Amino acid sequence: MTVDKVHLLLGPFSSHITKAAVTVADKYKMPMVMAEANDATIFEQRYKYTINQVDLADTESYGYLDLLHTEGKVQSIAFVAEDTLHSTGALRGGVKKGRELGLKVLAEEIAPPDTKDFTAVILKLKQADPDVVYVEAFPQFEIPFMKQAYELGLKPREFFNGHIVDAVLKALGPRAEGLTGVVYWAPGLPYPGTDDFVAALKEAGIDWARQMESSIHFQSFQVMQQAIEQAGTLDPEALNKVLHEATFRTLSGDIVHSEAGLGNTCSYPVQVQGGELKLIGPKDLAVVQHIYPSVK
Amino acid sequence: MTALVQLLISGVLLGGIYALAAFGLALIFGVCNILNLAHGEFLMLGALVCFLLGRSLGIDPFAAILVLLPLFFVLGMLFERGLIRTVAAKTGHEQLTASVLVTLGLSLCIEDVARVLWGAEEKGFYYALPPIVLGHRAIVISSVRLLSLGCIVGMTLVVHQFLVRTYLGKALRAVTQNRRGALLVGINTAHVGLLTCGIGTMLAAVAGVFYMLLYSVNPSIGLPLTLRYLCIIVLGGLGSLFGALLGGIILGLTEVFTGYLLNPHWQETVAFLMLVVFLLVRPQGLFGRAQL
Repeated sequence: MTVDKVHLLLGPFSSHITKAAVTVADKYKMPMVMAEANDATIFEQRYKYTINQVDLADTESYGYLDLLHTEGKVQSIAFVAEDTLHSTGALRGGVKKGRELGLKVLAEEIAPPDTKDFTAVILKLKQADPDVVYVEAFPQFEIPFMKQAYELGLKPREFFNGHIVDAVLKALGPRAEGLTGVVYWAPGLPYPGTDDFVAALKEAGIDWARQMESSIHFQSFQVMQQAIEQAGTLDPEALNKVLHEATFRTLSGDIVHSEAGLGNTCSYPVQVQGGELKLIGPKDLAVVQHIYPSVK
Repeated sequence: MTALVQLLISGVLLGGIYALAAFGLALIFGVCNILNLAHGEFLMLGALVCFLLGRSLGIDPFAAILVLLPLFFVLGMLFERGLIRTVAAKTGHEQLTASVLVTLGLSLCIEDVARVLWGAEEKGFYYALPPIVLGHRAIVISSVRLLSLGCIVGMTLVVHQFLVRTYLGKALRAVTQNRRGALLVGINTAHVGLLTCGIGTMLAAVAGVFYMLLYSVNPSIGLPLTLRYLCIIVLGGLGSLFGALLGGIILGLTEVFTGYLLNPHWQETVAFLMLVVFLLVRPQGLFGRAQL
């Protein structure tokens, strides 16, 4: 930063790495546009030079839970999360939101991220017999959990996977059909920049289903571009002011940032239908209807 | 009661999978007196090769074992010729230090190479077999795990018969029990060491197939697994094959029951506490090294 004289920083992937990186941005008074970090603890410190795009991890389940509430078919839910910043934040918010919406929360299981045998957790979930099993974790946790859930006969009416990425879908093969999850962009959203994003993916040889977080990265670039255009300068203080005060038009909707730098992009519920992720909510943006129950 | 039965079944199955890889580690330690910290990496490589064979050529994981057996047997022998033999020739403290550093270095190299060649992302596949259901879905036994356990038991018996009935197996046991004595009666210990590394590496790779079937893999799983297998063979008694089997099953049962009765966070803590207590009471492990 000091040698190359940079004007703006792009944050790293994940909350736990970003949590360390933001301290550097603040120390050098250099604006950092976080890319994929949204745990609440990052914003509790009230850093002055960092902003992100997506709302708190705690709100990640909201789009999906709101959809369930609107449909009125689901009565109970059980949450399973790996013990990492992002996932426990999502679990915490999901449990709170679920209860507010009148769902019975039958279990809240948190396990270490390197857990490989889930017999104990699955047995508890079988005894609880929820309508939906909501799993919030990264693929190294989600894949063995889902495989063992199928093997050991855990049969809710629906499974939800927080990171419904290509590695998970490939590992589960045909059993992935009907799985639900959330994304921050999906084909079909009517916001600006989609064509540019698709073209950029094509040019870079990236498959969106494989690197879903690429949409948040692209959003960050959209925000950086618009901030520079609006500030009319590369001065870090001027850029930081615009980043905190302006409204940005992105491929996942308009973004404004709170004083603490928190963005407001919400998650969109998706479901695997015909082997592909399809937008199922909110109702006015859905590309296909939510199939429920989805576990055969 | 249903939960108890289900937990017992899962714990034994998990322990069986732990044991297969631990066998290889026990064998190499018993014969070469080398603590092979790269053992988990061979498991990871076995799992990755199984994954690649399945994805690119559509080869069934159980059929992939037939490809892995000769491939990793040769790889294990190359490992012995290239690294282990030189380290094993050293004595005392020098040998211990060299074995830890050399195998740890190899472990890190394999991990990095695997990450560069095949990417860091998680890899897995779903092997579809209908579960065995008893008593109105009260007890569900995973067919994949049961089949895996059957294969593991089968392989254990084959290794046992090899050790008990063949000349090479007897020579291997003799070297484990008393290296100098084996040399005096004319056993070619260098040849036995070569063979042992081949067998040990081959067993780790086969365990990788079961690991891929049941869980998922990424390049960084190796070293943590090696530590777990190390605990198993220490628990069972360094160098003991049956000790490794029993140690694996004890660890599997402990983890499964702790996860259910306490919390998944306590699985490793309780397992390793048990290990410490056990070693304080019986430092030579369950069977000690003279039982191989």
